[in-house]
Amino acid sequence: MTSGYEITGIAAAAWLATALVTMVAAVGVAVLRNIVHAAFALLVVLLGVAGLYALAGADLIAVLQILLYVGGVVVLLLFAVMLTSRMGDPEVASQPLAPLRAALAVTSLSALLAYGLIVSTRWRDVDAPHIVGTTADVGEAFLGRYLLPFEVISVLLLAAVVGAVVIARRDSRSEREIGERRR
Amino acid sequence: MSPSGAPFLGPIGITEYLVVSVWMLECGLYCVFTSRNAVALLMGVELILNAAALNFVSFARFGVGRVEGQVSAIFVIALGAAEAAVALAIVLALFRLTASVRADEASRLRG
Amino acid sequence: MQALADRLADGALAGWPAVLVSAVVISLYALLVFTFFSVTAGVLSWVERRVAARMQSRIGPNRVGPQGFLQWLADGLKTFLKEDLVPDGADALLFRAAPYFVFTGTFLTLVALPFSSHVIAADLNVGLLYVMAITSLVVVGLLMAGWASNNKWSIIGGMRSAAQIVSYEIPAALALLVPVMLAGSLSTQQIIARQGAIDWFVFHDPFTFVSFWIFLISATAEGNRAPFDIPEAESELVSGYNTEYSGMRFLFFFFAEWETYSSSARSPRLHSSADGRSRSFRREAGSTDFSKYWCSFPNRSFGCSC
Repeated sequence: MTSGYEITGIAAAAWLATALVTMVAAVGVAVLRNIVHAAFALLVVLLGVAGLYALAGADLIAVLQILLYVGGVVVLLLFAVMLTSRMGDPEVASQPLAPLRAALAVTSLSALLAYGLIVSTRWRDVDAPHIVGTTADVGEAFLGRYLLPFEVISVLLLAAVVGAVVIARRDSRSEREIGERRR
Repeated sequence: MSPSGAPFLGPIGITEYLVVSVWMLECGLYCVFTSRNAVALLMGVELILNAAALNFVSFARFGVGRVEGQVSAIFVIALGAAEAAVALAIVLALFRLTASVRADEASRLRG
Repeated sequence: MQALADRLADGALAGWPAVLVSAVVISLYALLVFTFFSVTAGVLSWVERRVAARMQSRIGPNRVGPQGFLQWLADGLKTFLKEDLVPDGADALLFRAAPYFVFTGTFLTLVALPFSSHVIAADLNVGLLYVMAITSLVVVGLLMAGWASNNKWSIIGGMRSAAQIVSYEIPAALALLVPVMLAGSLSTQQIIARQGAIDWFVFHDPFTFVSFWIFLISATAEGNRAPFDIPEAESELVSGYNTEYSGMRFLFFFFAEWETYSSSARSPRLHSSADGRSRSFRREAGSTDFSKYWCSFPNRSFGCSC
């Protein structure tokens, strides 16, 4: 057992608090019926995961998580909710679909995974160096070994942006046709 | 890392991270299974993606290939953002067509 | 701050447990910074009201204290005593939580923004990125406030604010990357250390000069101040996302807003190292002396490298 390998001391206490908040909020995302409340539970989950990243020594990932998920995805989600519903709409607080069957499936899968993780797998202790700051390392990896995936991701992001604009664009002609058909 | 003993006592190792990750995966799956609202579905997918990214980062921390794990986590985050943008555009288009964001009501092909 | 705590734990307070020492030092620092910024926010509100009034041929608050200088104290007291209203039909939980999100999002930037080469909460090696990231909490808080008020004006104002901040975050972030490239580091301390007393990055070459102005304009837009004040748009929306708020919760939004200004004023000082200049432009003419004091006072008085 190398020193500095596991998270101990005050960091472990912080880890426990963060993990508990994250897990409670994750349950909130799953079971809260008010969609806006669920979105804010998701916000808490994302912040908690960022905290777990930071405690794992991945501070760049933690900051990117906040920047992209909190600043981007959650805001997008909230915009989508607010553009498509009003407070008190049935969509805002909707009934779950077959909760018992879903709970059964999820519980059995988690039992299987928990067995695999905790009981049957013996995680070996590798002599890994303690990580201080990895921003430069990750940057070098992106411009070195992972240059091609990096560029592919950028093309994918461009495609996603263009695709999103094309899909969400208000096509006045087709909308008029639909309106006429409805009439 | 000794896997024996309660997972939430003592020093924090890979098992504890994986427990959180599994928990998030299960919550995400439950959300995806039970949601009628398309936006809530998307939230479940985001939870699952985060669980996967957390796995990558924890193996980067406790394993040997540390940069690789973090690089993968960044890819996951980027994919999550791209996916959210496209999916929410689809939700908006769906809302314009059916005046609803309920995924189980989107049963028409060719609106 | 951790460094100071370590030094204390090794030296003067050697007998004390290290965790306790660092907890006390960090709490005291947080309290100091918090008080400093709260008082500054109050004083700045007076400055803005006076200056804006002068520019619009009005008088502005001039009754409480010399030149109305104590007006902000009176207003603070008044808001403390006001009833904390939650409108009927509002989403009470989110309505109550929203101001805290906005407040936390802005005040957390102070973790990485230094007062001097030693006085900084944590010199993160991703400092600048952290500052950009943590302010996203503000956007979420504004959307939350607008939605939870259950009021059309509030929600439109909240969405306008959020859309404006998200849009201008991108040019701001890209402009901030220029000094990051020049300094070769994301750490705020490193970026300052790469600049001397006179040779700021803003005068390094034409591109940094342009990027400084881009950042300044974007920061003004993120602060919802004229000419970027469509989220407030008094003639069409009553006052945007904070329409339904009263008392302390209302004040929290304004604390946060003022704090946004001061941290975005401090940011170019770090990145483009432009001292109080950004402040004086944001607050328009007249407040130059004050803003000079504001941004450079911490550095001068705490004996810093620049």
